[in-house]
Amino acid sequence: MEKQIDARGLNCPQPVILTKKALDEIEEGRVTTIVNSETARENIKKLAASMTCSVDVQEVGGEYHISILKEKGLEGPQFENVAGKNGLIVLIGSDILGTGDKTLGRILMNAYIKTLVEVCPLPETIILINSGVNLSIEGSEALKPLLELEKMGVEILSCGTCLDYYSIKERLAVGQVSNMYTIAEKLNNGVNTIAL
Amino acid sequence: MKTNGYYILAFDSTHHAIRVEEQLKQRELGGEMVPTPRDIDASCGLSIRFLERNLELVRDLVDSSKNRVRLYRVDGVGGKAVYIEQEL
Repeated sequence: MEKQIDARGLNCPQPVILTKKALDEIEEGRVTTIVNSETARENIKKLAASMTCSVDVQEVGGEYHISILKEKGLEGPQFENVAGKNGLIVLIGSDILGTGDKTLGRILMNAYIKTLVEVCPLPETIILINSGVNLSIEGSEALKPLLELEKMGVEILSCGTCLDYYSIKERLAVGQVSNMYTIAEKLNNGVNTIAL
Repeated sequence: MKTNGYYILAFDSTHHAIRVEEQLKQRELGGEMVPTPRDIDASCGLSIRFLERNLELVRDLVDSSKNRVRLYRVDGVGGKAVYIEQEL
């Protein structure tokens, strides 16, 4: 089984997602991904390592041909984390981004979460507290991008106290309910924390 | 090249974008507010993404006489979106 993926010019994290999909589809064999950025090359190498696949990179005229060999029975624990353990935590404390007009703030927050799907690096964890939990429930405009982020390995934690306070616990539609202990630990262990 | 079946309206005015989004919602035409892609405009603007089947209805709705609005068809090349400007 041999597959080739042309991921030249694609925005991060697309090359990683395409490669992971190709590797998931085969039981054993080789997947070669072509990229033209060093960031994409490094991210794909990390992906291969996390899936216990051997990897070989060749530079051809400024492009990288990354050849990944998947062997039967050698897969590590199910690969779940395209996002990786980079210690980047995004703490979202409101469904409004920035101070000022609320309508604009809601639009900006939704735009921010939609954009997170398309830029690198992906956060390791997104923590939603207070009215931030309005983003992770049914009917939220941010739900679809949050589900995509979760699929790419981003951990999404919604504050249980907050879901309860706003009586929306039953409507939670992505990620897990979390408590202040977990949230405090995540923030303490974060390497880079962005609080919005 | 693959057509993704959707279009983007890129607005110069944020207020205009919000107004059009409300009108689309009222008429149940869907449409989703998204940040204007960097490939279209480097400034931090708002766009509305909508399905091709609503193209004519959206064209009728949008008044570009006062505020500049640009229309793009979204094509895909190997997973990367390409924006082709169209006449509004």
